Amino acid sequence: MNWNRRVWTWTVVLMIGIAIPAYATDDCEPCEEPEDPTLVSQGSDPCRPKAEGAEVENEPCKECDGAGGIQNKEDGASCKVNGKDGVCCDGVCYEVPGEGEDPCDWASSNQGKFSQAIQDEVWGDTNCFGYVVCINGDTTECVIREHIEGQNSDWTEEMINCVCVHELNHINAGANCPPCGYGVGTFPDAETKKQGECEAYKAQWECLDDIEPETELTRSAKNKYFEYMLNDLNCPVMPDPFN
Amino acid sequence: MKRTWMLSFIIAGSFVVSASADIMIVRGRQRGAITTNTLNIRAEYDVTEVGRGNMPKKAVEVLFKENTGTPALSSDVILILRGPSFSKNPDFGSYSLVSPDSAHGIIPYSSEAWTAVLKKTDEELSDAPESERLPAREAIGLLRKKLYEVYETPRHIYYYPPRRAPYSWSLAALCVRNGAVKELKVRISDTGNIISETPNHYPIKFFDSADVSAEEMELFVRDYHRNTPPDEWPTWDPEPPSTMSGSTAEEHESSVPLPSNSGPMP
Repeated sequence: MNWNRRVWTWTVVLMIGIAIPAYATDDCEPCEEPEDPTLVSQGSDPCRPKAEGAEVENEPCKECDGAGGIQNKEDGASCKVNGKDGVCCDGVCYEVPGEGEDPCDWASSNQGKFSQAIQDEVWGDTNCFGYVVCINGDTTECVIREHIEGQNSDWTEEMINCVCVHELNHINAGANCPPCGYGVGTFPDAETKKQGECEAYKAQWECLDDIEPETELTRSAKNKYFEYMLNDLNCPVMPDPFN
Repeated sequence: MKRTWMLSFIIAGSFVVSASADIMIVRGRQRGAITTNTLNIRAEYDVTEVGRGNMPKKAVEVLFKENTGTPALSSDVILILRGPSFSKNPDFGSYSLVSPDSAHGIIPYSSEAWTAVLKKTDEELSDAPESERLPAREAIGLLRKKLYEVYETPRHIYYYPPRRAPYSWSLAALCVRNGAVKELKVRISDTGNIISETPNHYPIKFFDSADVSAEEMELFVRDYHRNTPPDEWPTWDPEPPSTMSGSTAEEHESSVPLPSNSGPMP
């Protein structure tokens, strides 16, 4: 009988000993940890805050704030996403181009990370010659050379380079980019776009003018862009053919 | 420093004026064949007489877009040209015709025609008389058809006010495709031909979803033109129920709003 009683007592004690921490663990928030059972039995809370900066499971860009809550890691902190290097932005880990990797090449081979509209209207539209890729607010100017070549099949490499000069030029006019994640920059407004286009066409025209020796095609192109700037864009400043 | 800036501004400004108004009238003899590349039609002439303007070149090439009026360009012609020259060769000029259509800039020579052309002012030569211009409404109708051709199912179309260019209209429109704002600029000659078309080569705007409402586009248009004078704002086109083709396009023709200075629809 005594033996039975003892077994029962120990069984109950053992079950309580297992149940309290288990219960406490389940009940603790991600940035809390179970308190010492002895302290709990003396009236302490069953969970205590983890130290500030402690990792949060499955959240590579979040950390504990030291008071039991979760906070975002600082923007720009390194992280891993699907085993690849990333950078934190607003609490989310975004994969970024590797060290030395060209962001334009990276974007082109990671098109799926961009919205469907961007995929369709940038890489999918052969009229799109250039864009600014935005990765966590960092901008890089990109040219889609295949699109330019496809639309100007009889142009020489030097003339194609002048279109690249155009794209790279007006990209510098400023781009609206999302602060985090992946996007493509756009002109802030119509006036900026117009000014940007005029400057870019002027740069392209001057680039064509520098090609030696001049050919029928380079003269034709200079004529076309001059007319376009004058009559269609109504540019305030035109290239100087006498320079 | 200020003076340098002002001086450059004045020089730039005066160049713009001279570039657009520099009309030359020369008599020329055609040499070689008329050729076409992806950008222009091209014909070459020896300069035999200068009627107006500063023409230092012995020979010129003239560049234009269409050839409607002179089916067989005669060898002895009157050329109405617009500067500047795009050639660096001191003896060989490269000029635009005064009109994209050779009919207005390459005229078979006769002494009567030569006298008549020389009597006209630069202003008269620079554009067609109003009675011979393509009505702006028709030009916009052609732009709309082109939009449907280029963008297949454009939504929320806005037309910029048409601008007059030599013997032609310069038009532009915004629309939405796949949740992105697209632009198309065209030049339409008074003969009703689209002589150049330029879609945007650089992204303008991406909406969060492909299904863009008229209100969202309207808000974008207002915000996008916040720094543009209101008389240059585009005007909304009430869309037809389906894609433009055949009779639908014709039925819709009458409802096309002629862009005004009133800005976007409220």
